[in-house]
Amino acid sequence: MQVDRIVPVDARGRIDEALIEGSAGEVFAALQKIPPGELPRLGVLFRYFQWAMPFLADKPLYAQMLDSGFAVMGVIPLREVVLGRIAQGLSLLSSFPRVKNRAELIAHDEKGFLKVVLSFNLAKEEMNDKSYTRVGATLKIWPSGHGSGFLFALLWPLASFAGGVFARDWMRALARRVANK
Amino acid sequence: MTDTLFESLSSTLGSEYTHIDEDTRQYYSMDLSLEKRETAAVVVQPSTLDEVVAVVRKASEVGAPIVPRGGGMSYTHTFVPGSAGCVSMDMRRMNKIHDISIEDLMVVADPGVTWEEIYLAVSEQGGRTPYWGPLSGRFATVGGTLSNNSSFFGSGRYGLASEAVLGLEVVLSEGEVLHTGAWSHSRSGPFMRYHGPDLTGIFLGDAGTMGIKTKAALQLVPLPESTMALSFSVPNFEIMNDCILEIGRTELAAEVYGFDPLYNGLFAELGFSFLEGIPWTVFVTVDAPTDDLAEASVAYLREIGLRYGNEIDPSVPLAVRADPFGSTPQVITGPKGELWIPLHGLFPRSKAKEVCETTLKYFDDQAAQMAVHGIRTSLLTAANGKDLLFEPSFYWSDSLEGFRLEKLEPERAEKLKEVPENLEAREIALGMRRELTTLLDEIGAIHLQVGKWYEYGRWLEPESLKFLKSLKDHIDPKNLFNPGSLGIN
Repeated sequence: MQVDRIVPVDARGRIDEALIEGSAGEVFAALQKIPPGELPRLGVLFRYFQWAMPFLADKPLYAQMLDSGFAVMGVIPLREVVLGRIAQGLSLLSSFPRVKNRAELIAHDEKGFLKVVLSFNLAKEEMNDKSYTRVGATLKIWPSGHGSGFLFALLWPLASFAGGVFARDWMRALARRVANK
Repeated sequence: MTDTLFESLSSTLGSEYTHIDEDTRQYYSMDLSLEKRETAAVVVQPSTLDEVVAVVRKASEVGAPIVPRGGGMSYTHTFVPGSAGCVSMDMRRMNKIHDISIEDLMVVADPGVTWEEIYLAVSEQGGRTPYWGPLSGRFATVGGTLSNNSSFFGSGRYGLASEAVLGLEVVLSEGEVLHTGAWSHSRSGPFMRYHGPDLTGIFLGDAGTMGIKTKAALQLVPLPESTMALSFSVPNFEIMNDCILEIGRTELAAEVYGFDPLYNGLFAELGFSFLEGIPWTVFVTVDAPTDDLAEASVAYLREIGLRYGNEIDPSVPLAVRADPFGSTPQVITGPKGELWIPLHGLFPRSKAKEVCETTLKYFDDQAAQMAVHGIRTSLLTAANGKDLLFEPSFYWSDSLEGFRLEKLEPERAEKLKEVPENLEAREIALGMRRELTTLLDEIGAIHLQVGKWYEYGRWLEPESLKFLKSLKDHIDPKNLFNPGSLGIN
């Protein structure tokens, strides 16, 4: 997998998976289209605060991630896309030095920053004459530079929990969107 | 005649796969070209070689023309009947992939297999076709693409779709079944294109006028283990094309293409906000067996690109690769959901400057009229190997017909289905399209998907036209296969 070529083996991470009826193409197309307001659970929050950020509630999450500084770090067509960026603390919203490719992400070593990688991988499965796609969302975070490991170790449980809640909701929305196609 | 033919075909294929109702016939008489021609009399959906042979024989007996059809994604009437009483033959039920051989680096596929399907099947086993599909590859089929010819994924390095073909199985006008290339050798198989004269080439880019393709053997290359990308902002259209062609001729890039301000604006809204304010861009994708080799190619191409512009985030070409066939909804309408109609031409590098100047001058001359009718334009270019593929497009607000709407995401289709007709702007845009095509033809434009729109016959030298017509007369003496195509009858 492309993500393994970018992320160090000791990076902390979590993987959330879902099995969705549909082809890889249908799933990939849907993945890029889901706006926050479509998330079955977290979407309520986004819809509630829509008055404050009407544009963001309708703009697909994938596009918002790219807008917020994630760059595409690696691809295998219709199988995997790896997004990555530099962040500080747990905030993904503030503006940080944008790394534009995997070489820059790997090379970044300024203390106090985190490297965040989110990879979506898709694998075909067939059951009972039906075609499914297994979607895996891999979140990997590791500190940039030396000496930030202790602080990051404290933050990781919270990051992992939040990432899992978000990823699972995104998967639910994905399954729903593909089913409604 | 139609009723008799319908009953006869229905008895062969079953009523489920033989259609005479108005809606189905209308649907199969459309592509993306907007201008209506004839309506198919009958629509058939064969699933086997024997069924295709039977349909051809029955149609031939009564003199009914046959229009073979894949995904219908042409914008040049290729799959739109050109004469009355046609049988539209939807090939998409012939959708099996046979004989994937990584050992021999080849795959045999039915004509109705889409490029997405063939990519997924062969890549699972470690291979990929050299040209591996158009942007519309979620819908476009192998058979339809080979009848049109095409350039995009892999074309920077490997050229056109037709260059990936090792051999074909074709049904001729009396129902005979022909194999081409090494496939025609009684003791061999379809591993090589050239076995004596190149019979395969006669059936490629032919708009289905020479026979019905029932199988295609395609070359494979080992699936690249590494894909990397580069992007550059460049100051203007002419420099964009120079950069694309300089990179294209290295044959190190799988794809090299350029966006204009309209497309950069569209992609900026899709999340690539770093494109805001950048008018012209060049995107490069590199495939290689290892990361080290990909990085070496990227480093070499970066030096070239930096002579023409500034390096920017390479996320666009990588994102296009992530979902290679998913951009159809974006590219078959304009950024604001407008109607879109392109034209294209292939040119050698020595003519690129003239092509740029001619096109920009034409757009300048038409600017006032376009402004009145809300017509916008875009200029996309790509390298097809060493050559320039140039695709200007026109956009204007107009109703989208059902064939386009069904290719869009449901919510987008729902928003756009109420857009009213704008026949005045349509007539003007289509007229401009024709005028610009003629200007580019005078420079020597070479066209893919000739279909029934490009004036292929008009620009052929007399001896070439005579030879082609005599070949067609010999292969298809009753002129049953997709009449009106190629401008030769």
